[in-house]
Amino acid sequence: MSPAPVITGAGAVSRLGTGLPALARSLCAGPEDAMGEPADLSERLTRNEARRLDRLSQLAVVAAREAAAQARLEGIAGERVGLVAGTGLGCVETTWRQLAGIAARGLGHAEPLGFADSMDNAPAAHAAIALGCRGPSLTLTEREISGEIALITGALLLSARAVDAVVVVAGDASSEEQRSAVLRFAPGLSPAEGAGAVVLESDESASRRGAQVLGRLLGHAQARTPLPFSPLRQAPAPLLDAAASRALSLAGLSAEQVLSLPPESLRGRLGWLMADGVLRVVAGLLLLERDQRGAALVLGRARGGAAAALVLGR
Amino acid sequence: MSPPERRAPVIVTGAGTINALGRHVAAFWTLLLRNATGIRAVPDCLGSGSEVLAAPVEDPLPAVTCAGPRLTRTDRLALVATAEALDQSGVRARVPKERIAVVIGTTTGGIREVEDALLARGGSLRGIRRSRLLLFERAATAEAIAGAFELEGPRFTLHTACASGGSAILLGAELIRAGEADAAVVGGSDALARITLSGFRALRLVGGEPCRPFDRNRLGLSLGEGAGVLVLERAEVARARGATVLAKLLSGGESTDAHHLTAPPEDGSGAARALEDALRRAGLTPDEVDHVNAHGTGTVANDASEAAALRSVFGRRAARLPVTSIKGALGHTLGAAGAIEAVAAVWTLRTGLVPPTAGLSDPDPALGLDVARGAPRRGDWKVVLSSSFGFGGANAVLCLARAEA
Amino acid sequence: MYDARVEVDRTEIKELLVKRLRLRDVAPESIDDHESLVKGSLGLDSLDILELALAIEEVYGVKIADEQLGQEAFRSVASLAEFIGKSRSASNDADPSAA
Repeated sequence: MSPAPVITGAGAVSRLGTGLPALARSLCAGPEDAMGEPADLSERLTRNEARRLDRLSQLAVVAAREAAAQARLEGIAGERVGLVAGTGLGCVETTWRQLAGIAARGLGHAEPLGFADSMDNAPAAHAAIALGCRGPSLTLTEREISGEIALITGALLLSARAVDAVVVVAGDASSEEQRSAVLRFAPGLSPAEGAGAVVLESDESASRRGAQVLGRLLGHAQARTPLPFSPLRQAPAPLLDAAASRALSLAGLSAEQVLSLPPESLRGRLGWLMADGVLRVVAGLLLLERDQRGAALVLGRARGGAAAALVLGR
Repeated sequence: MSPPERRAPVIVTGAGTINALGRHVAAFWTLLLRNATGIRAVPDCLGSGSEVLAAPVEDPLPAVTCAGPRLTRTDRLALVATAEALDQSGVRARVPKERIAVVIGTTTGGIREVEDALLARGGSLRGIRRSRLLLFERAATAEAIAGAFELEGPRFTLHTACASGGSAILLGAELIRAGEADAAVVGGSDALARITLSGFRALRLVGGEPCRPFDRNRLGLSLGEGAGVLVLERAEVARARGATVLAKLLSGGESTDAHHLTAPPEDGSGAARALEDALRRAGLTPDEVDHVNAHGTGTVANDASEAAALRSVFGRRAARLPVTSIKGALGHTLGAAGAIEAVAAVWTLRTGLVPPTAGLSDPDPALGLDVARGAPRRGDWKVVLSSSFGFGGANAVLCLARAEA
Repeated sequence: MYDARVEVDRTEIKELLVKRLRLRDVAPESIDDHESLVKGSLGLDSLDILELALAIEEVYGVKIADEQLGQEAFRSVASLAEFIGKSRSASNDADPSAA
């Protein structure tokens, strides 16, 4: 069995700030539920990216760019670098602009820039252009575990030897839909935008080029409930346990040996965004730096009866 | 740079489709062979008051199990195609439900229903966003399939624009190879929606007449709707239960152009890489390919770029390699396209017939391709490539082989 | 006698560019009349040109064919102004009741 894939870069944007240092500072200090300003991303985007991209694409490009820079991704041939994006709701703002235009002007409504940027895979496309990722690119949506599923898919691309490294980025922008989801399914939390990114790389590729290793993905698992199940109902706790125990068993670890990050953890600080899985993985890596256990278990669960578990090691 | 590893073949044991030419594979295939097209002038399209060229699926749609108030048109199309594929495959009788994965690709999901609701309120957004949250969650289609057919394995919903159907099939195959599932229901579905009808026109990619893939006078694409689904199985599992093998999925190749949001590079280099990777991972050379089921949208740019990719991979042989595009018959079905085209590729392998490209009358000599036109081409087809190239520069190529080959 | 074959005001076009393409940090007067729209400091791409063509069709009532999008007409503000002026006067000539 081949060695676990390694994480060689990480990036983050959230209401706690833009970039890893801001996230690291805020994770360990400051009040819960701090309401940050929406991040000003203009410093980290080209002029054309700032004026053209949907907010979600901007969040994704900023986070992915930081992760790629840390990983020195230019050291790998573009054809061997893939990109996997995860999002719960996609480019909502731009989509609504299109729909409003159609409501006002009918099928003849035309906004060339807007249509292309409303696509679910626009964030992945923009990140791939920005970073020169020319391997496979995919976008996954799976409600509240979109981020976790994106990471699992990235690991699958690596194990299939389709790529030597994959940039995994997931997030959601602020929207009415997200606000209504919070009101309905997570009352007490406040909605927020954000994106997290990691560069997941084969151990072989990272060793060969002497890349800095931030962590390892020791195990991952996805679990589904017996059907039928409603998209309004949250996955039950036993499902989380099932995903957790499978992921831990693949990692060769027991529950006592890991820092546990259940789905609700960190949401007080980061706020609630649907696809926060990768952002929580990045936060998990930062928390691991000062945790003796040396491993963390990131858990996610989604309406529609799904759960995912990721085991990170140092 | 480590070379892509050779992939183990995965078996196709079921296929289903619903589209403008038919509500199941046999009907679709019969009309496809006859050079028919489902692209027509649709009066008062989607209640717009205008006549639009498109290839809709005829209403009413066939009844589906587990019909609920929340099912979108995209969901229903997918359920119909899945029912046919599972029925043919018989996989559920022998493979436990938690070992059957579901991977679906789509571009619009429930957007059409959001549009319907918005327009029913005279375009007012008040209060509508809250109740439409679920329609924005595209995971609903895979969920509807899992619920209707009791499939409890890993589930993925993916988006690579016009390549989504192809990408979904390839991801399903990798889940099987990784041991995460023993079988997979894979494919794509998309209903006609106003956002895509107006959007493609805004990009000047839609012609004023039915599309003419690879034609000298091609003017642009036509939109269609539908769903395509395959059932894939691990070879040992299919063999052990004596399943009928429709075809073998040897491998796939995927790449990203990383060039422009909507336009491919003129040299088709990203597409060429996906074609080459698919062959290398199947352990085949370009000479061993008998036919290519192309993306062939009928836009000036795509067909030229795709032809450049084919010429770069196949060299002089490109002028003699039979190519077809079924988009002249079905229109561009977006997320479903790669999957319906895979169904057609499988049927080419089963029947020995390459379907003609509807809409094509005067092949563009500048493309240097041999495109099937007018009547089906009969041959000893053993290896077929099926290509899809999407917005965002996503390229997906499937490599399929005949059952006994 | 009013001569409709006058090119369109270049400042007007620059303002249209800035507004429709959301070039928020660009002052219209800072755009050079002759700099390349695509290869120059604005760095527009083909999607921007499509959006611009749409704006021009709406505001000036001219029809822009697909072939014209990549051509000389769209090279710079100056060439655009000339192109729009010519197109408008051509349609005025065709319709004697105009002007």
